[in-house]
Amino acid sequence: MPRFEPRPTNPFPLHRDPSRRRFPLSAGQERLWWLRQLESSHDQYHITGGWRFPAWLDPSALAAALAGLTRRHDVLRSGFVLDADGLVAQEVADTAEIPVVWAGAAWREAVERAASEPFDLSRPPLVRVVAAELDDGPGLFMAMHHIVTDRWSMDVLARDLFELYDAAREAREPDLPGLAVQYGDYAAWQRRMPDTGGLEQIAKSLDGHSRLELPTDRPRTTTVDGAGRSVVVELPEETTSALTALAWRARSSTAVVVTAALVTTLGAFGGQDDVVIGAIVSDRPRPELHDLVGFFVNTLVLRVDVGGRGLTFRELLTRTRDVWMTADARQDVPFEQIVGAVNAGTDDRHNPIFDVVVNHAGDRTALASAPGAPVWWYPDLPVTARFDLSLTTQVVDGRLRAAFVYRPSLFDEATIRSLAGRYVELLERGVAEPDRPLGELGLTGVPSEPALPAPRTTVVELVEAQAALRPQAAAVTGEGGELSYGGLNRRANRLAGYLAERGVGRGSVVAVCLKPTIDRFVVLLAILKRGAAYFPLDPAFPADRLRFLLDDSGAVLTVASASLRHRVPGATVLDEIDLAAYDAENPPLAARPGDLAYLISTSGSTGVPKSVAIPHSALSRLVAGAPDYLDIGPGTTFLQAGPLTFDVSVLEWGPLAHGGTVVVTGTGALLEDLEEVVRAHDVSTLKLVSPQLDLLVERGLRGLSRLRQLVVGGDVVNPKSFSAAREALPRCQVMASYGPTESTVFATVFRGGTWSGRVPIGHAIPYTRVRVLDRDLNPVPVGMRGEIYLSGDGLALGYHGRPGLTAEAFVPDPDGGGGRMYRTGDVGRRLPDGAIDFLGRADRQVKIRGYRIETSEIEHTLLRHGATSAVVVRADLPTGPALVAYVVTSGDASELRGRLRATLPAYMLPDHVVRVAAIPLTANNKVDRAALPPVTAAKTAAPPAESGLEARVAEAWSQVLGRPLAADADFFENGGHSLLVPRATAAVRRLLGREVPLRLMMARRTPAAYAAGLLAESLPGVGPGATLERGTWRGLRTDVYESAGRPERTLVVLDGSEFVDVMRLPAILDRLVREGRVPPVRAVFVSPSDWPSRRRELLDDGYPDQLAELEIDGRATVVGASLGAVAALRAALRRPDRFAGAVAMSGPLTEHDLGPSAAPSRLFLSAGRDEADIVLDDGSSLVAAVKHTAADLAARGHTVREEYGDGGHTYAAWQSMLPQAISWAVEEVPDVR
Amino acid sequence: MFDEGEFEVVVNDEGQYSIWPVGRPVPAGWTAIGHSGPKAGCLAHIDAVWTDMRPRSLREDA
Repeated sequence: MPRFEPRPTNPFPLHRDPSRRRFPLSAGQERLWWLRQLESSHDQYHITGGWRFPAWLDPSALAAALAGLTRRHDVLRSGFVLDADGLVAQEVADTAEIPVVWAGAAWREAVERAASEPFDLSRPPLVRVVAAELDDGPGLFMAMHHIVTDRWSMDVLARDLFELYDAAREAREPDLPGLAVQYGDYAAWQRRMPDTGGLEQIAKSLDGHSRLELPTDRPRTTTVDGAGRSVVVELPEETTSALTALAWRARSSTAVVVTAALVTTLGAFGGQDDVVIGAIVSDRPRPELHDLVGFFVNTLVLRVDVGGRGLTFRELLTRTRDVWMTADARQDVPFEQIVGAVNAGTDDRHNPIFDVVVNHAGDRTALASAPGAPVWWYPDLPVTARFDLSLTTQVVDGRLRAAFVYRPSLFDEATIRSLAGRYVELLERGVAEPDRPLGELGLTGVPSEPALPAPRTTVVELVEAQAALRPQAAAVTGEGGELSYGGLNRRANRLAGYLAERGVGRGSVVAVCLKPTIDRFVVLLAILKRGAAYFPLDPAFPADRLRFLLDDSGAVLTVASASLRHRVPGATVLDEIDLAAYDAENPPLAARPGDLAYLISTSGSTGVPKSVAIPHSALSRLVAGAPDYLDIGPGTTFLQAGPLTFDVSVLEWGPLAHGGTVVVTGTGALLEDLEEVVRAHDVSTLKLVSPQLDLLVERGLRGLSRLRQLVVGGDVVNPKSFSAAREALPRCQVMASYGPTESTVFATVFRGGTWSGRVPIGHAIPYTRVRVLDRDLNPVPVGMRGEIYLSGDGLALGYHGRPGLTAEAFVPDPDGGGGRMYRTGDVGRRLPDGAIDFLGRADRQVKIRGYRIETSEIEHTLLRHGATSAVVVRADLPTGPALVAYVVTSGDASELRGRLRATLPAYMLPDHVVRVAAIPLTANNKVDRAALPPVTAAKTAAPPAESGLEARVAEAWSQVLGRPLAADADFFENGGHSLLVPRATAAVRRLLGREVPLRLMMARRTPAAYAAGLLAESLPGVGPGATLERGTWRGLRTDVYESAGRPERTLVVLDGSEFVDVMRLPAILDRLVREGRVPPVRAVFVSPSDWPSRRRELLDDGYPDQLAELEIDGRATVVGASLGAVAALRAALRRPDRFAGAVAMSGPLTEHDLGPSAAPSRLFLSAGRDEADIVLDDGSSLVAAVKHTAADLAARGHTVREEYGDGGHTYAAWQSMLPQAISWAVEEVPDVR
Repeated sequence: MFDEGEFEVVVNDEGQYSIWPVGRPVPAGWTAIGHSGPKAGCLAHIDAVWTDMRPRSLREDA
């Protein structure tokens, strides 16, 4: 057994301080306080409980008992208040009365209200009580905020309450243990606990962790409500005792066993080995704390690796135990610090670090099981969910009871039931056979039906049979007219004769490069009749690629349309063959079921294309099963709008084999001719791929109203388009299909039943087995993520001439029989009805900043928000890994990103949204990732702050963070966490001198965005008659204010934008003029060209002369603060011809030479008293510098007034100084001598 | 399962090759040919030995 680090002990004494009324919050309380600020209406953190009283509830005794409770426990008299610095404290009031509602028999409503009504945390007591008349006697219900209690405390409260009640009734002293300390003493003691390196170790242990991503049934929305539901399962008594015994033998605990099973189940459902969850533990580290009421709960972060081939339950227990013991020893590190240290930030919709917690309540406390303990009463109340999923386990009457509480906004009950079932099964099987690999425990999954053998009649035989049966019926129509079955067959027979002459026979490959005309099938059928395979070439391919494909396929011949002959040198041109020279009768049957029917080239992950080799038996399987879901018999007309090189074209054999008609014609690159083709040929069944449907939906589906069936293929069908099609085409069956080329076009179809969120890919088609398997190749239960495997007669032979690639993708069927199954690399899960929900590509999961991201989810969201099509990729930019979304949209890409923000968690937001004209597709309509344009304009160094407000916000936040923060840097990605928000906000409040909501920081996380947010709500207003106009002067922003009346005084205000936007000087001037405190005034606000140049501009020696060139009447007063104060004084002193005086607030005056004074000036100098703390370069404080300069200037004959106000170097201080400063400065204009 | 660890080369009655994780019982109908190791090595071996990719039934039919 490894040695575990012990939990460090707090070196400080825990003692009572009876004189103290104000205490810090414990770390856990602080977190609850913050959550309350964010979730202003949530009752998730209410703790409720109730008790039954014998016979009669005595009101006066109850009142005495409740009063006794608040006297006994200071925490019941404590309120939580925010001070000016953004620090929260708990203040103990002298008295606090617990409100009691006497609800009688109609107690239900009162109880519900008591349980759900929010508490004002600043107003104690955070307890309320309802006295009820139950059917069998009185009951007392108590609701409290978690910040003052926990589950253990409820037992303490019950014991105390009943003793106090009995004592009051019996008029005796209560017999309760004395309390050596109070909760506030504990909180103060806990906060003094030194960090012994635990934080660093925890941060290190979480390095590179992946967030657990359970597949949800509904997308996560911005508004997370507290609604919860629960699924409760129980372990039989024998299993529970076996579990306890195993825990003991493994030197762990029941808590560890239940946690081990949970992380394994979660890892399985999420499809990941790295599982991070939270554990809620009760922590009363000292005996003095046992009889206290209060919040004594810690949150441990548990990261367990559940991966590894052949892992057993016992090994898993050991891993979990080690993680648990280590976390336990480090539990003094406040959770919020961990959040900050690992930059988990805060996301409105996610809990930091984890969304799933485990809470093993163990056995009840001794108090609850003591003889004569109060009888509990739990009224039925709505379940609240604090996390996406939480598991609370407890051994009750010898049986382990596991309660899964989940958010119904995310999960269906069936999903959680399945997860809970898997959990219990794992516990049972794992406890029974702890040394057997988990993968061999035989846990239950959704079984899949084995595939039936498909009929083996080849398409050649089937088409020949149709030709005999209905020679006159239309087989193919479209470009080039119409071919009857008889005509098609005869022409194909003649061409087959020609091919025979050219040496084409069984085993040959014939390449084809054909225009979409009705002759297509003459060529394809002729090749198949020879027992050869066809291989479509895309005429748009570069010559090199075409050459490669021809070589690679070993094609003996290429048949091309006349207009494409130049693309394939040496090709046989169809139109040049004298078909009349060959026999029109059916040749002897050549093709056998095992013969190759066609090759389809797909892009390979290695960059070299590979060709999927499909035998006749696989094609027969598709064709034989197609009538099950496609209407393709006589009288129907089928159209698919893809090229021959795309395997969907293979579907066209379906109608030909069953007597229907196929339309072959060009529909235009953007399907612009589709409606016309559908009308002209009376198409009844249309097959599209998902991006094509999107295109049509955008254009309107009116032209397709005569369709009877619409099949949309592609893994990700845009649900918006899907429902739009269902609505617009009420008489048409709208279906979805799925299938890789390797399984001959289709594997599953969704026939259009009910669905929510995503469009599922549905059920297996005939002769096809679809399995969703976990990594041990066991079938997954409902809701669990797994990989999709396909088997049955539809499987390809493999990749033509690529044995290794084939062996890797087509793997042994574990069920025996020597068969193979195709490993799709697609990830899906079973829905409760057995249908399959496609979740993405196994290899398209990207990991960025510790988050595992399924790009298809972002794509789905983009589609829901107005993108026509979208693809999201991970890109390695100079700035690090980033998510890039390429979208086709008629809207604005940045707006789209804004909308995404409303539904996606921050970590899933694409870093770049690039608008493209079309998503580049490969010949087979797959996204051509290599052809996506690179992201340009990668950001280099952080841009400097653009305004003074930004700079000052950044400075204030940097101080709170203890590290410099750039104006465009995210507070939460730079060590910030929610508990620093009040402090950072308080700093801004101090700066501005006004209320700023805490929430603003959650929406605006960078100083730049935050400053913009502040300005958006603080536009200055001017009264009637006054004007404020924005203009420019020498390229600088100038704002010109004129009060009502003819101006008699002029102000020049430096750092003008700050005075206008932040300090609202125009409004102040308005008021001063209206009140007659200053004469009508005109003010010119001059802003620096930008913030980084400001210092240089203001301190430039030529600046006073430059200001003197402003267009002003008479002599002006120059106003400035900080460096602006230096510039203002310099202007007044050096250019008395233009400036009569200055207002200089908070200037670092002794750092700069103010210059000689030519004539007496009227000068107002001020500083804030708090600026005594600001030390200038010359060693003096800012206040001393102002005093010194004021004395100096007065001695030099200027009229000087100095003022020292409240506050510091802040907008707020300057704003409050401005009225008297300006009134005095412009009172008179001194003569120039 | 097929992503990490050691594999062995297996073949079925049709002469089709594939890989199977070492340590797990080979499914019925498949036989280990005695080559095992990392995946890339197994696949390279298959590239070398699986010269006629037609299933045995088809080859015999021809």
